[in-house]
Amino acid sequence: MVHVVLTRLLAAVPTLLGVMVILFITLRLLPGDPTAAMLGGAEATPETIAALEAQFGLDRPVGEQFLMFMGDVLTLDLGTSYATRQPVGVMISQQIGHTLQLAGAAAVISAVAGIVLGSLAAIRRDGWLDAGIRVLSLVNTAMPSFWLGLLLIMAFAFGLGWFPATGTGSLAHLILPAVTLGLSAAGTVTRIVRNSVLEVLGENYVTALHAKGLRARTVVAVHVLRNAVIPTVTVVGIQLGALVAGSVIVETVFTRQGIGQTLVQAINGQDYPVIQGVVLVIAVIYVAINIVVDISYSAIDPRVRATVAR
Amino acid sequence: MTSTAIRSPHAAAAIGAGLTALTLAACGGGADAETDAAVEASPTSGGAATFAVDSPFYGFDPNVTPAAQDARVLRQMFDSLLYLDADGELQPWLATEWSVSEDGLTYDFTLREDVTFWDDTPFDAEALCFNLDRIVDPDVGSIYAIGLVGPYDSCSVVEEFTAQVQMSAPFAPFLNNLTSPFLGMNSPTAAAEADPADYLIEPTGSGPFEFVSYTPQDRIELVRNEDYAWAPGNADHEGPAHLEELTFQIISDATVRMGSLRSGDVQGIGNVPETEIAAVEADTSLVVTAQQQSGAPYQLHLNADGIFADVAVRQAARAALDIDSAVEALYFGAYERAWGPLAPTTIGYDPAVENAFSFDADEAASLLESAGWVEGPDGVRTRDGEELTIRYIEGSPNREKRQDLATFFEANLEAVGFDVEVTFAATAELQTVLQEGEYDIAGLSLVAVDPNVLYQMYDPRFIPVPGQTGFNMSHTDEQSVTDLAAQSQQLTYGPERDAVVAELQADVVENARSIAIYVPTYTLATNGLTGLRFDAEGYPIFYDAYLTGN
Repeated sequence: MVHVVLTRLLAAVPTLLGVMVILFITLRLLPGDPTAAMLGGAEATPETIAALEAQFGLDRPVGEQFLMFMGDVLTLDLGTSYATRQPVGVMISQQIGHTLQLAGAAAVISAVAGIVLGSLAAIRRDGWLDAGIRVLSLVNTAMPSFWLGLLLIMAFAFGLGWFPATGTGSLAHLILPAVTLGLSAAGTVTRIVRNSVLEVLGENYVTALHAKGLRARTVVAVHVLRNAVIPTVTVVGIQLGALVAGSVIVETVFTRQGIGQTLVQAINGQDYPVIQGVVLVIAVIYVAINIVVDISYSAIDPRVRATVAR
Repeated sequence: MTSTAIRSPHAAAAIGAGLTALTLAACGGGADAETDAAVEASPTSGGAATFAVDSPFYGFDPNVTPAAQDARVLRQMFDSLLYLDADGELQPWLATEWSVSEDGLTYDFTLREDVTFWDDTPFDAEALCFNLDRIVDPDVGSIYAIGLVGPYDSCSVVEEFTAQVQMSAPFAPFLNNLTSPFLGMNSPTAAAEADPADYLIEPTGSGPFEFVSYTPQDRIELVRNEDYAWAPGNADHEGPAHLEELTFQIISDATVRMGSLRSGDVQGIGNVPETEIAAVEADTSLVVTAQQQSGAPYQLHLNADGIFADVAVRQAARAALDIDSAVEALYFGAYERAWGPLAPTTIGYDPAVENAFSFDADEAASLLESAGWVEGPDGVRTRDGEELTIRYIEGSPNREKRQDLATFFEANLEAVGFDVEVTFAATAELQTVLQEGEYDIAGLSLVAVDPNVLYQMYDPRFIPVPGQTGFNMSHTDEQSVTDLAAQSQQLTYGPERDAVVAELQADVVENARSIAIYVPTYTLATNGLTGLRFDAEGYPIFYDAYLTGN
């Protein structure tokens, strides 16, 4: 097991390195100039511009900038924001907790809703419940999260007054954004769960279990779901990464703190260090989740465990 | 386009030049209702108000930040040396007297003696000099304020409350610029102790509201300065502010912002969506106020280094545009249409430019005919085999529906035989296109209080070139215009300067160097909050504001 974890961690290094190289190059290839973005059109003398460029190292050759950047990353220094002049590490650490909280809560909501609805649909295959759940999950997947968010704000914040419309901090602030983000991901989970439950239901051993006289509920809850949940874990895992990215939109609608909003603002202002820092952190989270998902297979599925042990 | 205060989130506020007086423009019955309420009710003291803004802040060090969004908060925390009254006249604030030498190089200031910063540091000549020196200190990294002090050279303490400022060249806009929140006075003790990056998010001023806390991406909280006793003369009261607590919260989504105002979660919001203005006006619990920006209105600049080198083609393009219909259809009366290169509330605005031209597609066609552009088989005009193709660039996101204007005008221009390629580009790409001159039409509005903004738009020094942003987007390079612009910058305020400024405006309109479209207007709505005023640049002042308990 330790060996597996170590192998996966080592494999993550070139992945992250690749992400940083591509990101660094893409940012510099994009048209525009961060100094102009910093000035936002304010009148500036060439001296002011030169001073700003020197302050942020933008007057150095691109190769040197890249080496400096990689050196900084290795020493866990993500640089300083051009716009806010704050250390990027501090900016991210102030915001990341809010995003992880949102993405985590959304993942739980999408997994629970997806597993319950997907199993129900599979068991009641081709019935009205199945049809209803399939339509619902389709609508859910197709509806943009900002629209769902606005509807929820209208109904539960301005209409019923149960939850605050905007802000960050308490559980009450978390519920509407988490439901928005969770529901928009739940559609996919529902469909995956439904398909894999259907697949497992058709397996010979399920027929055997029924033949043994086990109650249908026990068959599904104990035997079918455990097998059907493996692809679901993959989807939920991958989606957790996507949920971190999806928080960009939801954070904007609910004006929630988080790295999503930080990233949007940084992209608008060509704030290279912040963009690089946030993307690096998202990439690390993505890779970490993938490793955890891989490892979790063996916990859930003895067949994988046997393979790994060999 | 790129450049102004309100437009892009980090954009510059007042551009370079100076500040000038503004009058309060009421939108419908809104502002009148507010005035009535203020007269009837006597102000209540205390309570907390939250004002929602639409985009994040960059920081609160007036010497550093360039963003108009930040200035709305800075105005509550920082006092300036002077202010501009409703007539555009300079009035004393932290400075009681001031004078300028004959050669325009030396300024003498006498200061109030009873002003202290929140940290109990007294405001004196030393504090003033500290602030000015700090702005030009490269380590501080001033982005915007450094432009406001122009050719500042040095400041010396004459006596405890008397300071002398030296310029290396005459700079007429200096006194007006001193009224800007971006030249608000910082506590020298606090500013010297803190690292510039830390001071940016935790400043110390002398204003009526003290900084309490700042949560990035969320809010900044202020509390009343109980010792405040140096309000400017145009304030409605003296002593501490009415509101005990004042919070600026970021709510980026316009629908959510409106909903939060209606539900009473917040007491005021900025940037009311145009489509909502009529609804807000109809709602008796809400009050909407519109403040026209001074400076340059939103204009389409016609790049003279290209197909628009010919004045007839420029005039034809202008005659082709149905500006009245476009502005009415898109802004529902929230914005007024503009006529010349200065907004009506700017010092030196000449109303003679109004109605100087009109929408006339036939005239546009005949102007193009006589310039040699004949109609081709596909409706696009040609001359010597060259097609009448123009590139129209506008910024993205769609600020103030400028992209919709572009679509509207594209149809207008194609109707008279132009072939129009419209491009929408985000800030960075837009800057590149502008700097490389790869456009024929580009939009721009500028916030400024001084007509010096004309100098920045039509002097060849400010033609954008690769690596350097500039506002002369019409690529105007005419000696007569350059001379007028230079005169307007050096002359002191008075009829002589007004005449030069009027001549410049007339020239721009006559030669269709740029086409004025609408006057950008900052709209603000309140629910249970009254007494808001605006400064010369159009930034709200909360000092006199109080809760009415709706």
